[in-house]
Amino acid sequence: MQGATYLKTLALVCAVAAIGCKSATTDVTHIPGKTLANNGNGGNGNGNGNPGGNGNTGLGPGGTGGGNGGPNVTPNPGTGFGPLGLPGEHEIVRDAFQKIHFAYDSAELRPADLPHITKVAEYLIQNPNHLLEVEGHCDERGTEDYNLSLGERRAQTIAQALAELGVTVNRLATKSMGEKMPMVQGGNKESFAANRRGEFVLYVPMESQGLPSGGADPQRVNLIPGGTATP
Amino acid sequence: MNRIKSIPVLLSMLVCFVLANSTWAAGLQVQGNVGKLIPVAIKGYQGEIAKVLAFDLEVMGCKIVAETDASYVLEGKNGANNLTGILSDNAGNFGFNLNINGAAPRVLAHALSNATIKAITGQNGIAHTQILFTMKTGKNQWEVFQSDYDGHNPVALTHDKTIVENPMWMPDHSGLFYTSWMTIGGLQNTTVVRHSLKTGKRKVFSRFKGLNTGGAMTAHGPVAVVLSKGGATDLYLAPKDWDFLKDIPGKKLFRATRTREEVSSPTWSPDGRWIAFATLVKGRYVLVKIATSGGPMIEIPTKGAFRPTQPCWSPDGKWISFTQQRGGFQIGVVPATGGNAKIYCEGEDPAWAANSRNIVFTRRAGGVNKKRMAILDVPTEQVKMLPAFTGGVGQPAWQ
Repeated sequence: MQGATYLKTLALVCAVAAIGCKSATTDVTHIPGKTLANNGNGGNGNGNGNPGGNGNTGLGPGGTGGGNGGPNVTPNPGTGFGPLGLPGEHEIVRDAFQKIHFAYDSAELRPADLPHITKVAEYLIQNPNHLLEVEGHCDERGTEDYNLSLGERRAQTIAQALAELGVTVNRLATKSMGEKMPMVQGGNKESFAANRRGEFVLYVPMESQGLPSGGADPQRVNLIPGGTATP
Repeated sequence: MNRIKSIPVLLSMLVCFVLANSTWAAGLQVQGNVGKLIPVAIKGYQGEIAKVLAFDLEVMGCKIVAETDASYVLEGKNGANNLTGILSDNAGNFGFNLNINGAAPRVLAHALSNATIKAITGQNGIAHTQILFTMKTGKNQWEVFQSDYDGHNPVALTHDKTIVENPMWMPDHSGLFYTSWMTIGGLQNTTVVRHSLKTGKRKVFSRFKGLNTGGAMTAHGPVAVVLSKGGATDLYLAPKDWDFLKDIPGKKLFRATRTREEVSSPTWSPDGRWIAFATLVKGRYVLVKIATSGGPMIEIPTKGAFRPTQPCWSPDGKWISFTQQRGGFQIGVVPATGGNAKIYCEGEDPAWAANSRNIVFTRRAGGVNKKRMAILDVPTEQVKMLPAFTGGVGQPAWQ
């Protein structure tokens, strides 16, 4: 198992390095006389996945103080994340996997984090009906608008790495939280470093019989609410 | 909400009243936009009215001084339901004699402030306008608020009980777009919402997988959104009547950029021909623009500025304000064609007023969740802080 993990990590390192070394391609919008930076984040992206649901997304009224009424959506069965929701009911599992951290103003993966991503990929491959959302977070040293975009790029970098390791893209979703959900309050380097991160949110189908051991560290599994994982 | 709806009506009535019940003269010395604080004395007003008049006039480039030092004197009284005002200059020339009533005291004062600025500078005032902004209302909760331009009379427009960002006015101010982390179908995701201020109705405008934000609309047609559905954060243009539910594949969207970098803060030129935004080139922060019809990104040089983001195109088309990040955050302005940037003050999230001289922005006061709003008068560089709210505010948009 360790050997397989090593090989997959090595493959991921090579894949990321290869992407990072690509020259600027013709599918980017150029500034005349300038070349856009290639930050190693191009390539597959997330794909669109299958629509997981549809329905009436006309929301209730706002602006009059009467609340939003909530949407009326009936998700359709599907195989992955859709723009309008999940295919069926799921348990939401946070903190099942180790967080990924980033350097200041960067969406590049650190080599030390690649084994963690490999574990996530292995888990997803072994649990093909589980879905994963990758959250991208930023520290507060950027404008809200910029951090929203940076958080998305961090999430996409991780999702792309998972895809490189064989996870089907329609099982992956990304979500930027910008700077709005810091892990640690404070204005020092340590808190900033803790807040620059990617987090994994696992969606486990309600009919699932718990989380099989394998990729995820069972000690870290924390089903909420009323989880069925066996520690 | 009723109060908000009624304000334009009341202001319309006020304007009619002012025109019908005032005496104007052409003898007043008009300053114009000279870039210097205009010394004005205010006489005879009491309480809140006096404070509102002073604040409004200072926001719009005046300095409140003693009568002996004033170039202009605004003198009058505030009754229970009315306001009078006589404006003259220090040469004794007569400006106007107004009697204003028919609205709440603050609204009366704003009307008198606007009339004073119009008489002194020839420019339209902005004291009657409204702003949108986000405010933290609880743990992990923000909402979109609308208030008078000076932060008074805030009203929550949303009750999403989640993160909300980027409120943006529709060009006719009949509604707004904003970004909500709302949960639909058991999944929380960024969602661009179109919100009508006339009916209170809201509708999902964009909710693809990944990032959905923006919602910058031009009077000339499309709506600009920033999406990551294509594998990177990029700028897309949607027809103004586009219906997401009828086009979930997004076939009617025009992908205006293909970048490998962050794309944020789309802002339209007033003529609708260009859209500017912030991105990076080889790790360098730049402001760029792209034609509505597509084509290459054209850099908007910001000489002297460091890490510019959050561009906002002025309504007269001449300027772009932005946020510089050098240590903290600063408000800068550059000609819309690019050139030498001027940095004015500490702050971020700039948004122009309709007069293309005032900018509302936020300033951090001890943390990202303790931001306050302030207003810069660009020609005079005067800054006025708005009242503090219990929750931190962000991303104001000016009507």
